[in-house]
Amino acid sequence: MDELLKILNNVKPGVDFEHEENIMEDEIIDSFDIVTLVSMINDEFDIEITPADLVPENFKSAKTIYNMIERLQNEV
Amino acid sequence: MLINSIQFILFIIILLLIYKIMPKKYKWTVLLIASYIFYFLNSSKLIAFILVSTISIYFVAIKMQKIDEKAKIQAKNIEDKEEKKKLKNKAKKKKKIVLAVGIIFNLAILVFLKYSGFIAGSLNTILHINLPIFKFILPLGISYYTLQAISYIVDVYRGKVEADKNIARVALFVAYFPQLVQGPIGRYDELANQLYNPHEITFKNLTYGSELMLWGYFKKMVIADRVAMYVNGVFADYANYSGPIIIMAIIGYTLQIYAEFSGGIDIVRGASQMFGIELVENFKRPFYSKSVDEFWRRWNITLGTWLKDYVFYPVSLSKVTLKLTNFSRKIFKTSYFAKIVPISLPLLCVWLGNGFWHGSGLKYIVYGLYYYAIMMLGKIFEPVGKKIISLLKINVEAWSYKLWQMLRTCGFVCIGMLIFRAENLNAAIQMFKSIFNVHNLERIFNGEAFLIGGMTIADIVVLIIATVIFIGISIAKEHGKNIRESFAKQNLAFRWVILYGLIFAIIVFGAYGQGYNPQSFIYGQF
Amino acid sequence: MKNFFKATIFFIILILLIIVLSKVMNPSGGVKMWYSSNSILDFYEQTKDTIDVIYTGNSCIYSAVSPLEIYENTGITGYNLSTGGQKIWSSYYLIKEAFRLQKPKLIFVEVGELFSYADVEQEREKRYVIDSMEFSLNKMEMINDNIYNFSFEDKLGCVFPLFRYHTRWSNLDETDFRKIISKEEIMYKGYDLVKIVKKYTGKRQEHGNKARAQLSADAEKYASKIVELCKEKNCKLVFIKIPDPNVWTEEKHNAVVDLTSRLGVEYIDLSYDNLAGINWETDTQDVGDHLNIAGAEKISNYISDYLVNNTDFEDHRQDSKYTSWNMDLETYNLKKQQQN
Repeated sequence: MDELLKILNNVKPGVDFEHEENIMEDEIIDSFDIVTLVSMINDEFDIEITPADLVPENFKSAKTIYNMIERLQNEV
Repeated sequence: MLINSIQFILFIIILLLIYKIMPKKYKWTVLLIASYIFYFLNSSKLIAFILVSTISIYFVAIKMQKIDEKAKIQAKNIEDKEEKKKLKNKAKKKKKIVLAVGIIFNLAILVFLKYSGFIAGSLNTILHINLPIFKFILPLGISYYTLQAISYIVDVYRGKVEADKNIARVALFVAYFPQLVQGPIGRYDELANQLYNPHEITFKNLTYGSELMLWGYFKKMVIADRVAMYVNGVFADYANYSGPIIIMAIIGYTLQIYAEFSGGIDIVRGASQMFGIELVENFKRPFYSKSVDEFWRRWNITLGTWLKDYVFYPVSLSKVTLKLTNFSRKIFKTSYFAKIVPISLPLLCVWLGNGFWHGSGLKYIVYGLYYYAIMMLGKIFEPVGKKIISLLKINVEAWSYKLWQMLRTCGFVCIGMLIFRAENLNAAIQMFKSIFNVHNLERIFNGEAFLIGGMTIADIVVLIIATVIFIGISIAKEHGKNIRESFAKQNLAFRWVILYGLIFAIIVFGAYGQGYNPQSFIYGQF
Repeated sequence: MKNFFKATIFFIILILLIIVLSKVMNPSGGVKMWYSSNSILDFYEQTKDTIDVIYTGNSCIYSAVSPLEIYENTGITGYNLSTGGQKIWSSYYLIKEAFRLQKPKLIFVEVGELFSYADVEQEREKRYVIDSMEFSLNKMEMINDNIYNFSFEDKLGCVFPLFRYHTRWSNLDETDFRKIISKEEIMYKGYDLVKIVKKYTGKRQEHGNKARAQLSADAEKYASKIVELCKEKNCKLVFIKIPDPNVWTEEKHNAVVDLTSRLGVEYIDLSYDNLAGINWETDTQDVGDHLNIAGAEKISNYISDYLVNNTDFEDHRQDSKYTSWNMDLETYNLKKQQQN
């Protein structure tokens, strides 16, 4: 989880990602940041995020992103 | 059958009656049959194309789902994780091929019908050959339903949506008539169930829906069709106009296309609402946008989201782009450019797609690239801009600053509209240059500049009043007011006066019909 | 249920508003240039079953036959149902209208338009008539007749003139509003009184040429329909040509002679044989295209004689039912005597 928060702060510094509840829909990070975010997450957690995963439900908060990461890790 | 015609209104009325009396189980078939009748009335034999597309995506979706199911069953019987992964990947590859076939097949039809002439012509010019150039009549809504069809199979591929076993349901999704003319581009998960489930025809839906339609007709017929006279007059003869007249024509065209497009969407959304089916909004007061970025999230919204979900994200997460992302991260570390370089590729694809989608011709490609350039430059100079703002201690929350941002965005958009509307690139460049040619100012002061294309003073008065009303409603909506709801709470007398006012504004002030030219009615005694 | 009731009221009021606005926007009865429409508009004011003779055709005949002159001479009532450029098919429907509201016993049809084709008919020629007619089944039949080449929108604009003339909103004047309440008398039982004199000095009618001009098939078709209709209604029918030297030729005369003998209809050609004694120095208002009051008097006198000698129609001058005619005649004579 900490690594994830580090990545998030790297992509968009100055945001309290621990408590943000609506990251994608409120456009805290925009579509451009998503790309960088995804590439960093893919590298860090050795998963492959696909466009199918890029939905608001997965990117609501740091928690939901982490859930998605875990799910993708287990899906292998 | 145009949507702004009495025939369309009669069509809707008859359809509502039939839908109401149909038993619940079959209500959706009314919509399906009506959609095909509507299609046939508009494109007759070309209906074959939408049928072919529908059938293709139906089978592609079913096939992909079968591949998945087979793989799941096989995977159950395998213990080894490596084997499981291999199986999964094989299935994924198979699915991908089927998907690719589906996409390419449908895109090919669209490209061939819409762009073959342009492609052949361009090849002829570049390679000095002589390919035959065909110009085809396009089947109604092909640019819209093709995107919708592709979104369905991609969503099935991604597991977002289950393949529909009922081909008639798929057919209804693709051919649903309100969205054939100019969108909005719907998604299967939002739309399919709505279309299929029976709805009660409620008084509220009927009134809200028809009010929305009236508002759409008002925008289209009183504003758009009227200002179009002026715009057409100037653009058809652009060499003879300069300076402020060109500016007015460009702004006029922007107003025209906004009123026409959003008005058309209102009409179809209103019509759809009467059946209890909600189509997504396609416009959210785009001229409030403070950046071109934001503009394209408020203008033709469904095209933007389609490009985001089916072009931008897939390209951004593709192997090529990820490689590029890693590469730029290594080179630029965490600097700003680490982010910019990787999005340049997907963004280019989006804007080329956007440009191409709008039309067949060089100017449309330039149109797309124009916005691409603005966005890329905007992104590149973002840190510079931020620095300047902090240095000059500019208050970005001040309404005057926000106004500047909106006007600046309008400016960019208007220039984009110039490229879009001008006869061709040359004309656009000519017209842009002539903006700075300001030597006929007296035409403004004596009013001549306004009376082009058959516009009369009466027309201008009507246009201004109607536009002011339009702006007023937009401001109210931007501040969160739900117009129809608050309208419904007013007293009956007021509501009826406004409704009659709106209806007769459309009938009397609408720019339709042959017009009454007293000259042609003079009986010269022979 | 309450909502359904409210909605119904809403639509009823809407239709009423459309009808009222249509009346305002309708140029017929309001716009000066549509003056010949008054011929039809005034027809609806006539008391039922009081008109014995109907005259119908284009501007030639509405400038040449004055029913009040004929009434003064004979006490026989008549009405001139003619508008500018009126085609035979429009005359057909107007005759039907006449049968709907009156019981005419004799109809004169001007034959000039027997050589006109439907595909070049001007919009105004159709609409001077249609926009002046009251709503009726006859009018619906007329609007749906393919001879007019109306599109769906055109037809809608005939039923509700608001949709056709809505652009007039910026040039309405008070006559357009006043005409809903009352209308000015411009014509006299459909006759257009003009005193201007502009003499005709052109060629005289030739005699001796045996050639035939080509009749319009469209017009022939409706001429036959008129014949059928009059037979059915037991009404006498006469085809007539008003003096029209700039346009009328011997070939045309011959063609109509053939047609009328085929149809079994009487034909009087006042242009070919100057039976009414028209004097081209004094009797035309526009160098031969139309007659003026002097010419109209002569034509009307000729017709008066024809009626007395060929019909047994009553003299209504002592009939109390026709006092309005006596009053109208007085107004008419006063107008004739005025300087202009």
